[in-house]
Amino acid sequence: MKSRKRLLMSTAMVPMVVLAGVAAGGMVVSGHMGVPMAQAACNPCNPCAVKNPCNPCAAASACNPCNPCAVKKPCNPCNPCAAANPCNPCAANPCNPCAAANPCNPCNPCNPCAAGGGGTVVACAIPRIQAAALANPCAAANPCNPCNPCNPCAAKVCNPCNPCAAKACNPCNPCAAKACNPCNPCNPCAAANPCNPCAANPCNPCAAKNPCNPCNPCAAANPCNPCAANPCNPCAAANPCNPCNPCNPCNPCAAGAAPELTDAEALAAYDCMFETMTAAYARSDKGDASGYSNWRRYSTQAYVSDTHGGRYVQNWGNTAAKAYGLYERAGTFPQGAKLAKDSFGVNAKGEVSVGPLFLMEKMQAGFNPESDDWRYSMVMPNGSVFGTTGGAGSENVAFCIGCHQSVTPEQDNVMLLPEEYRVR
Amino acid sequence: MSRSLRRLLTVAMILAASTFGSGRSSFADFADGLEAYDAGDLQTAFEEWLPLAEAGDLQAQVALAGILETGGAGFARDLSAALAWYRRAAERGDPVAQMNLGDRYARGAGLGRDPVQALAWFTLAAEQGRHWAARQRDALSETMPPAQRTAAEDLAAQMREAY
Repeated sequence: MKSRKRLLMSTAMVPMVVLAGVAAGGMVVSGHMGVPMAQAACNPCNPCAVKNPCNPCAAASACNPCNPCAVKKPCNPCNPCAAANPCNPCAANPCNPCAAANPCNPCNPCNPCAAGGGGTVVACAIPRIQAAALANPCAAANPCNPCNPCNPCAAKVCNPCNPCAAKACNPCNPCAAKACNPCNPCNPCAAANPCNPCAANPCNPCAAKNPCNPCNPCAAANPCNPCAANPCNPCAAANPCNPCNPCNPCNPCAAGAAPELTDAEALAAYDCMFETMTAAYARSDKGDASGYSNWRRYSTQAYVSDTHGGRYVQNWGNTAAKAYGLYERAGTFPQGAKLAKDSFGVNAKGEVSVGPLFLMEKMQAGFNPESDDWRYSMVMPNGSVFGTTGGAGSENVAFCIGCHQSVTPEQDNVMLLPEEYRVR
Repeated sequence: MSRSLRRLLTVAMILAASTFGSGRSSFADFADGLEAYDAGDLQTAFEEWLPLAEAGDLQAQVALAGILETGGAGFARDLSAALAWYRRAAERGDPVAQMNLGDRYARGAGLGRDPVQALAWFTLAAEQGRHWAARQRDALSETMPPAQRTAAEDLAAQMREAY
């Protein structure tokens, strides 16, 4: 008896008993179906299986590109719906929520650098301005700064991707801790080197040559010295680490100043932002906010418009506004002429964000004598339209009339763009 | 005219005048904020709109959320604050706030991705005539299983009743 029990419980016997039970059960169930169910469903020759989009056998083949059930596994890299599924890591979408495990994913809500996908487009940032902002020691407060110890992406101290690391003497460079670094205050050579910029010695002879060196003993008298009380010191402009640099987010003077982009940067930023801008304005129910990009563009590239908040804009006009291309000689615009300016802004960190869409449309004679029959509206990137001349919230956009009437009467309230950016 | 009737009329006139007056003043503040926004001065726009938003002005809440969402030169972005304002306005029925909140839930931007919440907010905004929200609702709905769609409908119904 003991030996029979031992035989039944042996490792060879248990699986056999289990398999026999499963097989028997399967046959019992399949008896109601007429065919063995598991066999029919999983048999690739079974014609029903082909028709069944949710064939359970398909699930086993996770990489089967024809398996529509894979949709249920949103992170399945073989999911054929990848393109449409925002959760699929195969998708180009960087906002894949499956990326939550990666603290450096720009879309991870735990990533302090994650803009959250607001109006700012990470990919369109201006590298030159961004690098200058990151190299700034004040950037320690910026959670996105690779030098910030709280930045989870900066976990690797000598990360070669750390833009601060490029400059060996950069105090933000964690690699600078090496003893031979001339900027390391613990470096015994540093003390002996009279030209060591890190030396606190106010008598550093090298400092004397540099009017902006805070160690220059002439500092007090030098109006260009960043140690001077004037926070808007013009010498600061050249030094990205100087708190007086107008591009420095720590600079009190920089608060309202948008960094100036080169033509190439403005061109690239606009191209990068175009899709985001048009998608943002399309949230508005104003038809022209979606349709303006089919009009003719009259600017060769984005340029700064001081009359539109210092944002970078481009000029568009519909067919009825074709006279706009004559610029100063355009004359009075006919009814139905529509002009648009899409815009983006750049902040001191080099981040680019969508600005409002400015629209003006020439209405029928007598529509609004105060505006010379122009109807103005402004579309915010979130789809809000808070006022339209002669319509809802007309008072909200009254300032547009005043501003546009500042041009010469011959220009019919239309502002012209700088000559160098005009399409001829 | 009896004395009590005259008193009643006087009170009514004062009430009407004060309502009209405060409406004008807050209206002017909103326009000032919009002018500042147009001029790229987001800090001033924020300062003009914040008290209005706190007092319950829907368009100020949505405008405030908009600038907090994008930020600008000299004005830092604050996505969590933007979402809080969108939510406040959305719960009181503002369609622009509803579609933006729905979009955030759909993309998981700034908060966890939640298709049920997204579909519910898109539905409410679409009901108020927002075409963009209607398109998003339809596209999202197609990707969701029936149980989630039903949950979203139930949620939308609850929200609808709340405002």
